[in-house]
Amino acid sequence: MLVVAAPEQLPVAQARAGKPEAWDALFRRYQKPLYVYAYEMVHDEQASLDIVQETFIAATRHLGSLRDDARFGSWLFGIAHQKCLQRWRKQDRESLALEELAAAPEEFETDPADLLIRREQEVEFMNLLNQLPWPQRSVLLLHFIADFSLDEIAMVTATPLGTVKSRLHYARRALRELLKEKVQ
Amino acid sequence: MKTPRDILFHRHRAAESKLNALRHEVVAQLAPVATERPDALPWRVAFTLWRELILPAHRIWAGLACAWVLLLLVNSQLAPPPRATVAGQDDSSMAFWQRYQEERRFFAELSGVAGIKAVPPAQPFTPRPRSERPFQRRPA
Repeated sequence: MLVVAAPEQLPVAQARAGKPEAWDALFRRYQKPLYVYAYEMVHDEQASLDIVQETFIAATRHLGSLRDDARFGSWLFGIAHQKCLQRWRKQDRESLALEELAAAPEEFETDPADLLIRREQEVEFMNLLNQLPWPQRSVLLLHFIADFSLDEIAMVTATPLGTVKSRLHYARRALRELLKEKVQ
Repeated sequence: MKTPRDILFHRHRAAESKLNALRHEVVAQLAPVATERPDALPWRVAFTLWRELILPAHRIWAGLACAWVLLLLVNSQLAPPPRATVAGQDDSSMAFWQRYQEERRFFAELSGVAGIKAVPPAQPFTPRPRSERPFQRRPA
């Protein structure tokens, strides 16, 4: 079941006009999701703060390249994703060879709230999230944190829609299996 | 029971103060862009001139203004009445022409030049056929 969030009234037009209060409102809206995403990708507090700051600065400089104001969130996450990717390539912790490139499944559960986690499972959840390959973790985090649609995740990560579906499906299935094992 | 989003956000709640400071820093670096309407520009220029040019030396400008007012008052008191206000003067073009002719004759008498004649009025040009024009032989 695909859940489409109601469009927010973000002051993107005012930000285009250079109003600092509009930028402040936009940054306040996205600073925490961006930080959480960056931290869970690079696992370094200072690097995550740097990524958020660099993302904000890049957004102020390149807002003219945003065509659709309604896609400001995914556009901003796209910048942050590229910054994370640059850091990750420098660190070279994992290998893209771990990526699971199976065929995309037919059905999806795209509501982030459908995966409820008990209190005693939180640590296991975070451990598993960190064990996931980088691309799957990226897709899953964007799905959980920002509630992006599959199209938006594809835009953020600059990957084909089928690949996003595949990554999200297998990441969720892996999470669910782990949680079942822990319950049993 | 929590959603993954709740868990993730709760895990990083300590970073909010740093993020707020970071946000303020970035926003402070943004230079406010002038988005005022074009018709507000003259007022802005006038205000800038007033603030930058007049206000820093307002006593000097006030003294200069007083001096100019004083000069205007003195000038208006000492100046002769304008010619246009002389009673009985006819400023029509015919009266001006007659007056000019009289003054010219007067100066001619004073200078002793008797040959000055009144300029005959210009004859209106009437074109004639070429056969009635006087014959002029061209030099060879």
